[in-house]
Amino acid sequence: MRKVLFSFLILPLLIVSPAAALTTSDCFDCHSDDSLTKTVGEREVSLYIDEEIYSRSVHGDMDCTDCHEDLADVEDEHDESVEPVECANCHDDTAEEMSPSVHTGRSGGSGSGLPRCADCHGKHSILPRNDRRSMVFDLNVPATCCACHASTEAASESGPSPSNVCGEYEDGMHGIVLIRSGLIFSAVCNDCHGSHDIRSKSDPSSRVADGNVNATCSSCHTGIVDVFAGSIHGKRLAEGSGDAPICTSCHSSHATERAMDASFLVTVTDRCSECHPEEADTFRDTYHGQVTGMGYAEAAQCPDCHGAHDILPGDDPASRVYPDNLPATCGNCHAGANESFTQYLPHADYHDADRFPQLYYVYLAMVVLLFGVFFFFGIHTLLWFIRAYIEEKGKRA
Amino acid sequence: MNDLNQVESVGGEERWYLRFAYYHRFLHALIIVSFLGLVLTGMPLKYSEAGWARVFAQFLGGIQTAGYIHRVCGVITFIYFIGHLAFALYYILRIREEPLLKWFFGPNSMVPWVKDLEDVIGHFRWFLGFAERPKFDRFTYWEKFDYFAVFWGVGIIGVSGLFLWFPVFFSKFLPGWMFNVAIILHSDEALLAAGFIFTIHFFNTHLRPEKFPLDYVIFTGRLTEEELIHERPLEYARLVETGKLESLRTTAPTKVSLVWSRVVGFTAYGIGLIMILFIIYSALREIH
Repeated sequence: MRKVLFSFLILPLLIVSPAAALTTSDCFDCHSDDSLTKTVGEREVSLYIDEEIYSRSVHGDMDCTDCHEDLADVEDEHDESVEPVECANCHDDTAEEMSPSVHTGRSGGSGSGLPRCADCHGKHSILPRNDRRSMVFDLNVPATCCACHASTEAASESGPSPSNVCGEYEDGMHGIVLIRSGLIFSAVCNDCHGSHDIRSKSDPSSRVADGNVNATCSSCHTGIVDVFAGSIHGKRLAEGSGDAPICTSCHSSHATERAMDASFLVTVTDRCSECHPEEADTFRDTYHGQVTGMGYAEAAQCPDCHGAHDILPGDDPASRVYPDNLPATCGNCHAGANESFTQYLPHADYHDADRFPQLYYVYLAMVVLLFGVFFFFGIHTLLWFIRAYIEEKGKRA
Repeated sequence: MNDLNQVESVGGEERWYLRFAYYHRFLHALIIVSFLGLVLTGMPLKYSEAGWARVFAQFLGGIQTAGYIHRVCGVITFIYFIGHLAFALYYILRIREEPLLKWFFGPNSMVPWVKDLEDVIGHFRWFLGFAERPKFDRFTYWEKFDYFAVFWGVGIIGVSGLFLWFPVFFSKFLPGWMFNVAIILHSDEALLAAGFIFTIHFFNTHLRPEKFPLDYVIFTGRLTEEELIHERPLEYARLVETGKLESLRTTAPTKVSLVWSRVVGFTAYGIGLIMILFIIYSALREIH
């Protein structure tokens, strides 16, 4: 029907005008019709292009055929199938950037279902990235990426997408700040993963590879990374120690927590225990550890005594747990703590007779008392019960 | 049952005598309330890694509220402890009729002496069927043990509890590692106390076949002449001999007081049973 209409109304005009290539206005003669569709498989796809929006897009002053090059020589109507636009013809530097990306399939992906430029940038409505309507404007980036990555299956075609990254991001601190608080300076996907050159975490040159995580975080958390570099963890990391922690050893990547939140504090021991299991266990046996385990965040956890990013070994005079500094460290919670107070053993193991003899023998004495009492009275009670039962029965009989 | 016939021939109906005055029953009520509160709020902390402990703490309003209740019950403990010491002093200075030493080693004192050792042996002989039941006096050896268990327990748990409550203050006199010692003492002595009260004390005093399901005397303060003769023949004989028995004569306990005794007693059993099961469960898991 539409073709019929085209033949009767438009064709005569073309016949009288000199034969020439399609102009943008020729295109809009058809594509400004918002009921224009084609059928791809079973799906109806709109072919409508809003001229007003197109004219305001970054490509607004370009002709349609500048991008749709295969239509350059078409004189009137064209086939339904149109070649994909090759953005790289102009954006060759960006295409170069894209080459190692997981999205090109060259960095571990498989090829099918990979995103094209338009999936992130749009087609006829592309706006500068600082325009708040742009798909790649910071506020909109998570929604753009999550069009694929919200579903772990969709993303898995071109590589594994671990867990529920979009949901975790949304509930994590970066997501809360961006989405709920609307603060533009929060980290969005591309701040950590890059935009065009997104590489797999297993690729050592990836921004999120273990060796680069700290540098990536430092682009925003500059001060913290500086402090970390001075800590024992930072020094060990710089020395190339394989077991030194990086930011994500303690902080979650997508479900980033605020370090002062109770949910983070009461689980921080679990994170430290990954490398320091004995210290974590002995801590859990103390009052501090017990109430922490019950969800009481105000008790002392590892960082309260040892520091967090500035952690230093106890024999370093600058360490919070260096003997001279302990009164101040303990005093943060126990106002007025003196030197005698700091002789408290926060990681004591009373089962260890060699290191903590005084605690071991007190513990042993209590165990002996406990077993002694229950042994004597256990027998006493049992015999008494039997005798009393016999007597009562005899009385009744 | 000669004793019983004797009573019936005298009065026809049961005669009641006073064993515990209001003050003692009141102190015991404070012990029940504070002890149950302390165990309920303290044990979850001792077994903080167990799932039930978290549920318990939640039920009590969170670990912070549990800690608050624990301290309040601790204060009640100090109140009854001081209340008892005050009474003991008052007794020694004003009520005591015998010379100090005679009283101290005699039947009206809680101090364990030779007769108690004889009674322990005699009791075991009776358990095994080798002898008659020993003749007990006003306070039996297991009652004296209960008494000193609480006395010692409050001392150890109370003092170590104070250390842990006010560590900065106590660190002025004690090295900090004493808090580590205090935690061990506080925690294991509490385990001993809870384990003892909820099994041994409950059985010895209330659950043994003669008394089952409850000995009302600590709630009503009263016992029958039959009970007095059977349980404490030496005290009965002395009271008769000195002519004091009649001064202890009192009315039968009211129905309300018996019902109330059951409510309190069975509540304590329930809490005790739950705690014992949880403690045993956690102790067994610790061994594994």
